Amino acid sequence: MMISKQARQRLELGLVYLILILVTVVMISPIYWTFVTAFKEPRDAFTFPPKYLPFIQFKPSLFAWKDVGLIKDPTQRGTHDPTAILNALQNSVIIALGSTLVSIVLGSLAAYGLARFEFRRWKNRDIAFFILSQRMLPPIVLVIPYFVLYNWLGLLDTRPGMIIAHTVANLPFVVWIMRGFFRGIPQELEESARVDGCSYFQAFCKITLPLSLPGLAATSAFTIVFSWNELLFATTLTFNRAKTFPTLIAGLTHSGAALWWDISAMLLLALVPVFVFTILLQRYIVTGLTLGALK
Amino acid sequence: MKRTRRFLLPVLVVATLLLTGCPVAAPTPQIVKETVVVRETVVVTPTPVPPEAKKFDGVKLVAVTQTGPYIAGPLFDHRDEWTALTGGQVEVVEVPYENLYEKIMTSFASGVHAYDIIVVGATWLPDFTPYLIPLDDYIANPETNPEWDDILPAFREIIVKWEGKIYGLPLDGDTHTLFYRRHLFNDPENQAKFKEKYGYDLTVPKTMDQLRDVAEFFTGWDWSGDGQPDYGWAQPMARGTQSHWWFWDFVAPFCVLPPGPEGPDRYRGQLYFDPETMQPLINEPCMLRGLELYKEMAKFGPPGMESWGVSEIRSAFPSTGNIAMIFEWGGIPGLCNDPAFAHPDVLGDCGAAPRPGSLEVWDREKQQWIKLDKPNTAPLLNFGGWVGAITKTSPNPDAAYDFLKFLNSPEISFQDVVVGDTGFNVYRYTHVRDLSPWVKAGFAEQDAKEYLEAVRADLENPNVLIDLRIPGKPEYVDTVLDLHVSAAIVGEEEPAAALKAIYDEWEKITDRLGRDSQKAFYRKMMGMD
Repeated sequence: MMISKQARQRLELGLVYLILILVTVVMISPIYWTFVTAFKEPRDAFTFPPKYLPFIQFKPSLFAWKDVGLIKDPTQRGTHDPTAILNALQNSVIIALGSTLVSIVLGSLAAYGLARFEFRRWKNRDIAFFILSQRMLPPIVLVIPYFVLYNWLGLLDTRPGMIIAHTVANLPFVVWIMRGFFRGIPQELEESARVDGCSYFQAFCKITLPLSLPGLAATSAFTIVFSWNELLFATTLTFNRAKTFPTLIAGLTHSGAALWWDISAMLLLALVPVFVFTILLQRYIVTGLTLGALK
Repeated sequence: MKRTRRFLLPVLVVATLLLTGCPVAAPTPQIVKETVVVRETVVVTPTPVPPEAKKFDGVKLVAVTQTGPYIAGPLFDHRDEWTALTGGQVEVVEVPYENLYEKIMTSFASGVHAYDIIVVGATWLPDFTPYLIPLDDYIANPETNPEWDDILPAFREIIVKWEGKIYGLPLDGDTHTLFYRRHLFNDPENQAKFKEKYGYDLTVPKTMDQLRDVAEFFTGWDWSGDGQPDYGWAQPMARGTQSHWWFWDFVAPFCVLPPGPEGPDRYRGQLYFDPETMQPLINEPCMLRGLELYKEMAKFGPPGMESWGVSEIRSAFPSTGNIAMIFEWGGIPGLCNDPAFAHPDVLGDCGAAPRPGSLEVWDREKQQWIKLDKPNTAPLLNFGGWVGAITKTSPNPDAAYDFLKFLNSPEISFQDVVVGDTGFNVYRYTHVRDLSPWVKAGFAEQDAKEYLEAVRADLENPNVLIDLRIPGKPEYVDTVLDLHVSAAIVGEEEPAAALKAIYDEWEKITDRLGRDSQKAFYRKMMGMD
């Protein structure tokens, strides 16, 4: 039996939609589960079979939000300090934005140098590989030296200390990605600007940088997400003042129990800034991901 | 010139990096802390302030422990009371449990003074003792004695001691207890059916064989009235979820004969190693019997229990209302009496009893099973509890001790042990003598009564056992034993083969770490040298 071209196209389209719907369900289900768990009482969080549907299978509750102290309720004893939660959230935002800013500025300058200039004694390729090699060492190996060095420098439990640590971890990534973007921008554009009297730096700022915005946005998204989620350095190099949000969430799995409802509430909080940031930069990120990096 | 510039370039880059993050304060060799805001839920009852200066005015302490509410909560709750009394201040540093050991050890190993007080699991205490001050002089001094005799002997004499010295004050007492749904055992219909099926009366299990029968009896039918089949038992089975403590619960009654008046010897009171040869006891027939029972009990639990850990057990028993029995730590009664956590049917229906024993025990000396008239019990102090200790680098050890003594005092500690989410369980006679504060805290009277009796029976048992506390313990237990026991109970490995594999691996670890030194540590741990 012959299938008409139109029918085949519809079938293909339907199949594509089906696959997309399945992928979407798979991607969204953990977020949905986190969302509903954040509004469950402990006794609803542990049932078999599980309860998926609020109002139908269980009555939504603000228990977790009161438990973490974000909603005041004189009848319920909060088990966490809301000040510590907000402080950790603030630390995470400042450290993530700070390290992203520093690594983007330094990294893109280095990447531009590697993309546009020819180094003689140390070949560009070797310099780029040296920069990349900084990420080859497992971070756990660096933790104790960092701890000792930071103690000596007075950087333990400080936001600048964490910004430096995250910047060092992010720089190789920024350099490599941005080098690819800069290579993708025709050099003739900068040469035209140079003919018109621009210095190298002016040409970089006025021509190359605006054209590489998608790349900068995509790279920023990766670096900010890394910094936002980073746990090892945050756990080792902070105590209280510079404690970040992931350390607070990780702490909710105790020696004897995991407070899944509290963890879910905190995770929703943790998702919001990254979600907003990604939405704001989405237009650039999509463009950026399809440029440069694969050249 | 060019060469100099090339050399200076990386230096300038590093300098720029450092300048972007230069702290306002000048670098100091020690960590200076600021006190963070206290939790608003704490009720502070300061004593009237005398006009003269308080004894620890101006002193700032830093205490580290796992993230609250469990364990850290009480430190936050009481630090302001202590400040009001003494003038001293305490900053509490919370670290996720998984990172706590490493973080503390990092500061010790690198010589950095980070903490005055550490509140840690008793099982880690031996590793930390080189960096801690002994507390014997404080305890011997009548002015600073923390009512030491009121602390239950297991914690006073074993848990906080290493090489004959006291290194910590107990803040929590840990041991497993058998928790069960009381109404199931009081139901005449259940009693009749059980007797008909097994030929003896339905009672709270006194032996491991009875535990098996009772678990089987309450599995696969709807005794809770929710229309779903229910379960007789639940236990952690997943790797890396502390299931090794349940393994010891199952094997100990079959393997450990009580020590004589002189204490443990080669054949009595031993669970882990032969103290003369340092050969593991893991491959003895009693261990196989216990492991096979542990594996069989999996049949009486909910579906998917192969992936369960402590967290699932702790939550499922009180909150689902369809599990008849569990072994667990002392947080269960609090959860069973918490309306937000417990299923309505469970509230006030949470019985407690000591873990069952065995009427048959393996005599290693004679290499044969011994039959007994009454069950042999060998309660393990699983985890052993949390202890507070003082670092050698602390510039204010007296203040640090005073704060720990305050937390450990009968009055303050009682406030903590009756609250479920403090993570602190009973460790003083004061805690187990009087029921009224427990009832006032919201416990059903019968629940509290049974729980306190069960705990006291275990803690005063002459055959009480402690966790392995020798170098390499994480590798012996948390890595090797945990892997093979988990493989055995989920059916990936034959129990006998699993025990043989553990034996071989333990021998390798012992040889690698040095048999003689390991033997010396083990004998010290057992109080034999």
